[in-house]
Amino acid sequence: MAAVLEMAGLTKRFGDVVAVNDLALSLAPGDCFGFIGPNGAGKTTTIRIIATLLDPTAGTVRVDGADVRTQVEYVRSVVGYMPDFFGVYDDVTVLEYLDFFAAAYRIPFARRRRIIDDVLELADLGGKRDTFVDVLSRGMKQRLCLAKTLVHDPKLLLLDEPASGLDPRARVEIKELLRELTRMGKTVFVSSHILPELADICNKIGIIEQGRLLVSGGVQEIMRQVVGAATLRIRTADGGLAAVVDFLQTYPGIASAQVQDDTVVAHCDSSGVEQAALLRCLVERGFPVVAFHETEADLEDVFMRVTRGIVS
Amino acid sequence: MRSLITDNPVVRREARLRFWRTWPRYVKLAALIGSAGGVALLAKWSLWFIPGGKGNAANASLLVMWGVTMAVAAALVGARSVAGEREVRTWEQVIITRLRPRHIIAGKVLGVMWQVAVPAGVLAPGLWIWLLHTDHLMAGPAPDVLALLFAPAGQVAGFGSGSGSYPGAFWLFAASLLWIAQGAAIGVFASLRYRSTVTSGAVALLLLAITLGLDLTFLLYGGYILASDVSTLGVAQLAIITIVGSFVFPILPILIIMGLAAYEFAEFDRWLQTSAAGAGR
Repeated sequence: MAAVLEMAGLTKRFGDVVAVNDLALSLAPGDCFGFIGPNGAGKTTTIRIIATLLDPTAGTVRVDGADVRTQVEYVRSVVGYMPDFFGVYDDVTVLEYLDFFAAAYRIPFARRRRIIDDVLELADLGGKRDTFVDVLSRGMKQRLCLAKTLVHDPKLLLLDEPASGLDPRARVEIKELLRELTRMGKTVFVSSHILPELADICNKIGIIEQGRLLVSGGVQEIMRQVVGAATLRIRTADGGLAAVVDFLQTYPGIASAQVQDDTVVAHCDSSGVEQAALLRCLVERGFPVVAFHETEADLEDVFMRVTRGIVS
Repeated sequence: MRSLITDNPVVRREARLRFWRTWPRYVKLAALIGSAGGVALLAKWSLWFIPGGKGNAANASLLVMWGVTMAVAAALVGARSVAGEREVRTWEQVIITRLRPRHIIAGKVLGVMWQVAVPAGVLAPGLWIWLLHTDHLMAGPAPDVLALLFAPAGQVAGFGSGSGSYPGAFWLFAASLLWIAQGAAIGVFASLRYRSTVTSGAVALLLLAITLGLDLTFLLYGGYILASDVSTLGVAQLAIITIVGSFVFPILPILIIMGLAAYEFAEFDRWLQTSAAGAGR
């Protein structure tokens, strides 16, 4: 299947600062790519280059086969871009707002009304069509901006921090909307700091720091690749955790063990069978184990392990 | 051409601006009364201001004020057009669409003209009433010079072409569009270049002053016209001279050609489409 987005050697410099350094990536139709990185890592710059708002210093970016530098018109017709900070025209109604952007994307007048109805329904704003934009809540404005991003039926959606600053309910609504869009076959490129939510909706992720893409690929594949060892949490009835740590440090397959609060946290590269053997061994040695379980690594673990908190 | 004017969503949006929507009712009423009162006071002031001036002498000053007000208002509204969008972060969303920069620029200029022309159209009859009682255009030293710039407006409106002429509010308004267009173009230009509305407003006023100054210099020192000629020249002659003087002054075409060349060579079209011209952080 032809890639919707293809990047190779993408580099962007601002004077002496290298904002994006030799990025390579390929996304197929229907992919939902989570772009993760600390502030100043180069996420927004990358998204702006894909959106044709910035020219790259070096490298190529192709959207649906079109070069972002030379085929700007075509790229804009297949890309929907939602910036991280945006304003809305306050003195218009929701309907007028969307009609403006539909016209700006050269959608014929005869088709505009139906398309606007569709995107309003998708964004769950059907009942707000005649409401002035300035009285909408922040979450609704965010959904309106997303609806605006969809009016020209783009193949690739570039969403820069779509859930930032939203309350939990609004975040869930945006997440549901993104899930629906990926179900519709849209390719979604989304940056966010809210990592658990990305894990829920993305099938691929990439972590960027100091302009470099440190890892990228399938979510599960990266978890395995980065986290590797399983994390065990062990609690005992008598609280003698130091003795447990001493024992674990001599046990084969345990990479590390330490006390965190009232729990021993151990990293091991063993399978489930070996973990069962370890549990049996602990019990046989007289440790009053009351809790023994493996905690699954999440994107936050991956993020913390891969990045060092350095910005360009 | 159709896509630039009739099918241009930027024009429609600018024409649909409802910035007064959130004003309380009493503020709207006060604005209305204040505008009408302001015009009346300005007119009255012009009568007092010109030495020995009452009656005929007031009219040149009124005309100058009218023209300057239109041009300045258009320049200031134009200065806010793009810079204001940058400040509220809507600009980037417009430039990312399939609208070409020329559509956006044309839309902004026409939109600014509309926003200034509507109140101008409303106020034109008021000015016309003041002008109705005279057939002389020129009076007083300062207005003598400045009125040259706005002579076509006065001439088209029916002044200075001898007794028995009848100034019409419609023609006065139509002639004012020339000055609104000039102010709007200058304001939008400044607005494209500067991100802050304050800076672009200041630059627009400066550019407007330079342009008007060039026009005056051309008219007076280029030998095309004498201040004393204004009241004796006919409508067509004066209009042609001033329009030609405004827009075909040797320096201006050079600047326009240089601007257009720079637009092409500096890939201004592309610059306008990028974050460099937008709200990039």
